[in-house]
Amino acid sequence: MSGNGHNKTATLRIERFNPDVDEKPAFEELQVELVPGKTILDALLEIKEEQDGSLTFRRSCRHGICGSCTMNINGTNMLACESALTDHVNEDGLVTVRPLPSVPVIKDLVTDRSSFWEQYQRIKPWLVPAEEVPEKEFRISPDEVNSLNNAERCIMCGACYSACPVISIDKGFVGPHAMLKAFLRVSDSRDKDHDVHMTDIETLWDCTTCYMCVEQCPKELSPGKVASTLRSLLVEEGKVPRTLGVALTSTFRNKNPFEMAHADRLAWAEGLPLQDGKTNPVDALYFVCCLACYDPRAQKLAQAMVTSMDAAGVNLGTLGSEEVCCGSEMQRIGEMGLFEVMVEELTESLNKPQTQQIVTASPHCFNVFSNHYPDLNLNAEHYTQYVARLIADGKIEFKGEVNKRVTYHDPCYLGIQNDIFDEPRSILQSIPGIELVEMERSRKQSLCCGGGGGRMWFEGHASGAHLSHERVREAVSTGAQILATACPFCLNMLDDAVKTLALDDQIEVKDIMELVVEAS
Amino acid sequence: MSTETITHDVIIVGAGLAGTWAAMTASREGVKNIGVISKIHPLRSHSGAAQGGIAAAINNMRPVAGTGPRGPLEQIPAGDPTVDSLELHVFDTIKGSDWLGDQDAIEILASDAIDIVYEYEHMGCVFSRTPDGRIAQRRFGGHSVPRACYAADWTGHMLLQTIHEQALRHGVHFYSEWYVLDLIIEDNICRGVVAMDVLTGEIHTLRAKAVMFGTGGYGRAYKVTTNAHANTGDGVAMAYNAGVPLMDMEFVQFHPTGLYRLGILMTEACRGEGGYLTNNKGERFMENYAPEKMELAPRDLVSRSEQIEINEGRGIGSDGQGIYLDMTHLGREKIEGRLPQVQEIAHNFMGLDIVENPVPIQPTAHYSMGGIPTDSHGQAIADAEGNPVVGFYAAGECACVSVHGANRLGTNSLLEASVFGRRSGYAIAEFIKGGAELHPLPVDPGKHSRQRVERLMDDSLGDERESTAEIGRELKEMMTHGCGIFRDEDGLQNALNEVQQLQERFKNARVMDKSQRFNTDMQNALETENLLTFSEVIISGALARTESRGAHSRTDFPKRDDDSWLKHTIAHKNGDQLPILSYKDVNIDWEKNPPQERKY
Repeated sequence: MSGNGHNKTATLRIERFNPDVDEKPAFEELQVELVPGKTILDALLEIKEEQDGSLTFRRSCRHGICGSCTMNINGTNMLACESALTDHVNEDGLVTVRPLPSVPVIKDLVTDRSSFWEQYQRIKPWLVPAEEVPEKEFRISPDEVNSLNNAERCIMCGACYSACPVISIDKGFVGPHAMLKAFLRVSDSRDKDHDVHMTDIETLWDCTTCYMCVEQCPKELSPGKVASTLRSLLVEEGKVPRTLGVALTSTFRNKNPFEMAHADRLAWAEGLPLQDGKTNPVDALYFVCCLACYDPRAQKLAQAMVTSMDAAGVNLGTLGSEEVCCGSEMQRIGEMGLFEVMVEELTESLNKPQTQQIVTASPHCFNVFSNHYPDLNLNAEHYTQYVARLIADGKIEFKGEVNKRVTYHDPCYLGIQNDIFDEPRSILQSIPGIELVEMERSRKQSLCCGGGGGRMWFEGHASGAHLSHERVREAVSTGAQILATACPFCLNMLDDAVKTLALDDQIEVKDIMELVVEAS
Repeated sequence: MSTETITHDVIIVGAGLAGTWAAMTASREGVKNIGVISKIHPLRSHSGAAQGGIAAAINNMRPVAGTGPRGPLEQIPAGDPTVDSLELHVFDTIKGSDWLGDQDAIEILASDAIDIVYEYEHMGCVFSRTPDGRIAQRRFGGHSVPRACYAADWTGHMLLQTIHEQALRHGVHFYSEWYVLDLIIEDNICRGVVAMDVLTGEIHTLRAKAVMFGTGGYGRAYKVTTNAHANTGDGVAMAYNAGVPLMDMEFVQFHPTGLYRLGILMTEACRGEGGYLTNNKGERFMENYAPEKMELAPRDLVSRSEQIEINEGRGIGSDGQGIYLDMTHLGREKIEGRLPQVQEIAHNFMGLDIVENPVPIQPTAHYSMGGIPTDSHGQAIADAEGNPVVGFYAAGECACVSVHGANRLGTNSLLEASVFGRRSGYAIAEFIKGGAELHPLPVDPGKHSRQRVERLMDDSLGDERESTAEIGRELKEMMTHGCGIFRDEDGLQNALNEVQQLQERFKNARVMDKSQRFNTDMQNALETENLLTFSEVIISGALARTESRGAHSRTDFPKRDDDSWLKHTIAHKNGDQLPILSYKDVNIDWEKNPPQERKY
């Protein structure tokens, strides 16, 4: 509803473009009456019939089953037919309607989805029927149907595809829709040739498992989540990109994916006030990401955490030598056997200490503990949740200032995947001197840094294009001097991007924890 | 607008179940040069919107003994007696059709049903299952036993995905977002079609040895409809313009449960799973109209009953024009498991959770029983004597075989489109392999299409021009009131006058969008012209038919009149005049299934 409740007009700010006559796309504002029950599609139809017949969009069923009217509404892809106008206008009655991003525009809101259909065809979407069929039906249990996880309900609307960050830089990527269809086929015992769907799918290693596709699916399906399942089939056959194989082997041998010695895991903490959480009662167990243990740049965020907690009077401990890789990325790479063993062993270690609280440096560890460690008896939090609470409780006080303009990059495993958007921002806002500005793509519309889902160890197929580069450019365009984040992976990716782009004179990448320490 | 000629062995127009089955089958049979033209992407076709099920007497489920006609169902254990049979499916369909369905075709429908459901299953369709892994079935209106094979309430979607993917597997070529303007028939021989590539606006002639229409229904002629925007009866109008007759067009089915005012379909499975219909007094009024079948009486009867309740002041909603569909006694588990899509729709469009609240619904234009007359191989026929239109085929909702007669039973439409689509595919393959030839095209075959487009683009009228959208709106309003659930002579005569006036006004209709590229304003206008073309046929047939049968309900002739009207209406175009009506006998097995009184 519009702000004062009396404004009965909605303004649709529509991106118009006819490549035959227009040089570039331009916004046009058109008004319709704002009444409850009117959908975005209704509004577009009304404009087309009564105001401007040249306004062009696709539509057919008008109840969310045909998948024609997918468009970008206020930055998110959705079906116009099932999106109520009242839910999407801002306090001024304005809603922004654009064509699907990342695909060419044919005219106004109609996009060219050729690459979408090409990828769909590429995985051979059909079931390969048996030569010999039973007289009646194949017997399929209701449980087997349930195990398809509703993948058969995909309406091919393209919302996920167009929202996919990898697609935005590389149309050669198989895409979430085609991964979901391949999953449907290889999960079906009636399909007689799973290989047919898997032979031309090597670009699935490019998926960063950011789950933007899951976030924007109007049918609440989980296209990105099947990446692990599909990859696991390739892992079983040993068809793993070499660099990922190295990371997997290292995780098995060294308990970290970076080929570093396990004995050196706590070297970053030397001289810092950190307890052995296994033997001493601690306020919280700090679980440090492998990257933060070994990467000199990322180590700083772990060190900052310890320093800050000490100042706040928090008794922080670690698992010491029992701290090993959490397995998050192994699961996303599809090494399910290894992952299961890791979960079992680490659960046992984590359940021993006399604390109920585990605080992770990385959103990846936090996500996997929260969602994939069924027997974990501790309350797992990401450090931003823990620290935001300490600040709110007055346990952390700032004596200094950070007089900088800061923009915040939402890590996918924290934001999109676990809905933690406010705590990191509340920390930044509580630091004296910081002016927090938002990038155009933030919170649920954030752009992935490109480092998840195994991509830390795998360059990908896109030639020359990097999500982290695009993200840094977007951050620079806000005028921010600091690009803050709260994830060792993002920190690493974005920091590298700044250096590669030689933008270090304009922007600096920092973990939120580093800024907390700076101002303390 | 260039006119480039494209040649195929077979052109199929429409990529829903009927067209895609025909294409896949003919390709599988060895016909390789097939082009399927669809004005929307094939997977957006309206077959995918069907929800509740596809009928087949496969005998997987039965009512639990002693629980009555609305009690729970269970799988039939191996070795136990069956409950369903071909004869029963045939009889239910004939009775549902109010004896206007052709019984030879209905027998084919019922017997092919079993085979085609298993074929869908073997090709990967994700059906819901019984505990022992067979295809699950549910009750549906007018069917004596649980016969509807289903995939939750996404059945049409699953079937469409399945057959489309198999067509891709067999190398079928699709022209996506091409809009067919004209069917080329000369001397009763089909020669091809004229179509616009929507992307470029270019008009092409496509030559073929055989053309098949699977272009869907004409429910968009009505104001409140379950039908997609695409369902504008283009194929029916084009065939009529090309001299092919239309059959039984006056029979338009109103679905009892479209969402109040919006018309969005709430599947009959809502009632199949046990949902009630109630009026503003909270009464299950169907006990006054169909005491035995109650809410699961056939659609024509239920929709009429609802309309009577509404007309007599017992409707719900601010204007009293609605009825409640109440599923609150079914429980969350059943609803989420079997009716997830209608749950989502009610939530998205009415803000209601059907687990907790009854849903306002109303009778809603839904299905076109009439269409292009064909034999049971999809071969279009030219006259009441059954002479073929050489090289022209039709199947699915645009066709009239006739298996539905005066009223279709739920779940028989996905079935009909599949069965007769597949049969058309076989027939076309045989036709092509039997030496079918390309016949010469008439001089400038695209001329009529170009003229239609050029007139709509013309800029000379200024303020005199008519709005295509406004004419469409008036037509739908008029059809709803003049030729809706209840009809009478005065109303129909007025409707006929009005549609002729609208046709006249349309000559001055002009589009606002003057561009070539992806001109949907132009497409909408051409579709509106098609609505005007066949609406006249619907009304003419309804005005002539002085009886009430199935979905055709005349308040001035409330009884079925087998002596005079046990026959199909055949309507031929007659220049600018009203259609010439003739009549064709119904195929009836007088021994097995003679006409009876129709009671539920």
